[in-house]
Amino acid sequence: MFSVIFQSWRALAGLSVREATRSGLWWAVAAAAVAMAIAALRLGAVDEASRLKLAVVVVTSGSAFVATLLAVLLASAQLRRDLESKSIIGVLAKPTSRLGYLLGRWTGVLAWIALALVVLAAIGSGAAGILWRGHGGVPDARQVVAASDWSRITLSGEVVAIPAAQTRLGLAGSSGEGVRWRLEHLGRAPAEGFELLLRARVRGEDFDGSQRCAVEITAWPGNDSAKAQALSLDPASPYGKDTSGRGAVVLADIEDARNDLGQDWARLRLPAACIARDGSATVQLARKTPIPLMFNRADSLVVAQPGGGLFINLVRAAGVQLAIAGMLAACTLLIAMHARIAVAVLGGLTLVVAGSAVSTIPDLLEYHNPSAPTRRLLELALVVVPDFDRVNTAAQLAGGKQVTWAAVGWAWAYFGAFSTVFLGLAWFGLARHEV
Amino acid sequence: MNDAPILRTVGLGKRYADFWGRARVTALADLNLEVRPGEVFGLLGPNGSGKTTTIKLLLGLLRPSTGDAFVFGRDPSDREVKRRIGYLPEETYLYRFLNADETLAFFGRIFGLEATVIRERSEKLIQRVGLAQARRRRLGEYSKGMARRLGLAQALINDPDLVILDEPTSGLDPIGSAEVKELIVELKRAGKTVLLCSHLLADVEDVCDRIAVLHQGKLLECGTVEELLRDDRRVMVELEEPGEAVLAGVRAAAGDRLRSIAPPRERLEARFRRIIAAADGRGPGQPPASEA
Repeated sequence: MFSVIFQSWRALAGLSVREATRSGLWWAVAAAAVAMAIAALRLGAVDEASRLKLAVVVVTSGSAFVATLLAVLLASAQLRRDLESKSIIGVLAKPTSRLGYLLGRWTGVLAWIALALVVLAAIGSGAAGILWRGHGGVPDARQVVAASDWSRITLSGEVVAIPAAQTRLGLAGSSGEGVRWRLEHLGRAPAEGFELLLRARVRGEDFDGSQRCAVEITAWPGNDSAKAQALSLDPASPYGKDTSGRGAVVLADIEDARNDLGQDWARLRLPAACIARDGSATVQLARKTPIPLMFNRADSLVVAQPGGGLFINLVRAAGVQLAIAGMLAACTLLIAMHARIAVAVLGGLTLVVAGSAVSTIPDLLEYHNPSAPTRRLLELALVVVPDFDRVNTAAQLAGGKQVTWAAVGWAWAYFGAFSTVFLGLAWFGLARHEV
Repeated sequence: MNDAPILRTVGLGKRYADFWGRARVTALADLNLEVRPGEVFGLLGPNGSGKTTTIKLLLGLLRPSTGDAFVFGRDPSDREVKRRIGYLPEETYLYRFLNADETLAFFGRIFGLEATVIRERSEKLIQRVGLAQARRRRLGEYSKGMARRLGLAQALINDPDLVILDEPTSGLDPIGSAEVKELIVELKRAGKTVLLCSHLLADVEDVCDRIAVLHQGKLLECGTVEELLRDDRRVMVELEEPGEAVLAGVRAAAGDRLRSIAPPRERLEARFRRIIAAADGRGPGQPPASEA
């Protein structure tokens, strides 16, 4: 049985790829690539860093848009044409598995979209390279490693554990209080050490965002505080330089919502000597001025390791987009089993709109107090409608963050569950379909 | 030799229902049929008589409403059964963006054939159906006759034991039709069983061993061509260059039982083929130059 499914799968996947290639869609993809490259190169922005961010957003969002359209159009057209022209008779009269037929059509569509996305990623990173050619090339994305644990340092120097449920820590007393972070699973450090990014909410009396707080930062490998070293700011840090000339690290207020690794954290360097052999390190911050500080557990201190160039990250982002495209193709195949191409396309696009809007439902439920039936409907939508913003690769890349293979795997697991349901229902429909 | 029927239907029937499950059309009713190994069996009937429905039931594409069908003694939807069947549908439902080689390779892969086997068989079949000159052109550019030839080729790619041909000469000119009939005879000589479905009586009469006649979903007649067409009330006598004296003697002997004395008529199809072949200066087995 499995060999029959596999034979049908393979034959139909090849047929789908050939059909898509000979339908002239390559011209549409080429036109989209040219439009995307022109848009990326002609963007206006306040500075070059913002321009690159915008270019990355254009490339990633443009690729996602192309993948969405291709998934919906290809899947609906290929299956519907087979049913209406009755080509499916010639196929199903052979020793074909209907499941293999569906999987083959679905896989073939995805394979073609994957090729198109790689082409778009190559052109997108080429356009970004042109934008940054005068600035030493496109900076690599960064893989973020957050602290695994943290604790508070009291004025007397006592180390107090912070409960796991507590996500924020405020230091409001006299200067001398501090925070200690534990970092683990750090990779092999280069000679110059790792980038260490630090940020806090600075709460001075005026609440006008103009307050600054001087801090002393030390680090040591593992638990060996005898080897503690004072850390100084990276000269390229976007902020934090002490204008008094004393060399202290000075923190300015940064909103939690801002997420650009290149701009929204103070940048230090964690020397290789401060990382133990097991990849662990401890970083301690002590306030030098009695200005209140607020730290977030998730991202007040992170290590930014090299996360690959723009092209490989765009390819990984394409992996996430492909997971979404796979789900859309499966949904469209299901609708195309029972309705015409136009209805199937409309159904697929409706899922796109719904999936893009579902991330607003939690705010709606919390702040707008809907009626009970509406609340139930919205809660149901949260479960059954896929959330397209679960893995927002455009925002990640624009913020300089790596798109990890784990994120790709997670996207495939999440959207793959929906794909499985849609394909299962389509198979049920095809199994009952009399040709 | 195994004489078990290749195809057998027992009370086979098909009713099409509407969305609410109400029976709307009875396409086939209580069909009892057997097709023996190695014979060419003709399924005859006007449009809408249930021929194509019968074939789809035998291929497992439709589920019977009543009765059963057995192919090689098993359920028609069994994939091992389908491996042994070659099917030419009523319309040539092939993919317009593929060329001849790609079409045969695609169907060969579905049958799980090795690439070398696909290549060898494709080469032979394309030559046999006369599409060698057009093998690289896409099917969208083919005439109806060319597409039909390729449809025949794909029906034989798996070297089937049972070949089901639904209106195989549809869209073909007389020469093409004759070539299809020659192919059917070759298949029979090779030991294949052929189920031929057509509403063109001359095609069925020329090649079939047995015939079944369907009308409005019911089987009306079934038997050998000889049994169905024989007319015991008359006798035909053929004389080679009879003189007037012999003819006068026949007239006198027959008296008023004599219906006609006239030269036999050649079949129009045979005459047509000879005329075209002579004009082209080729043998009758080669396709016309305009099709290549």
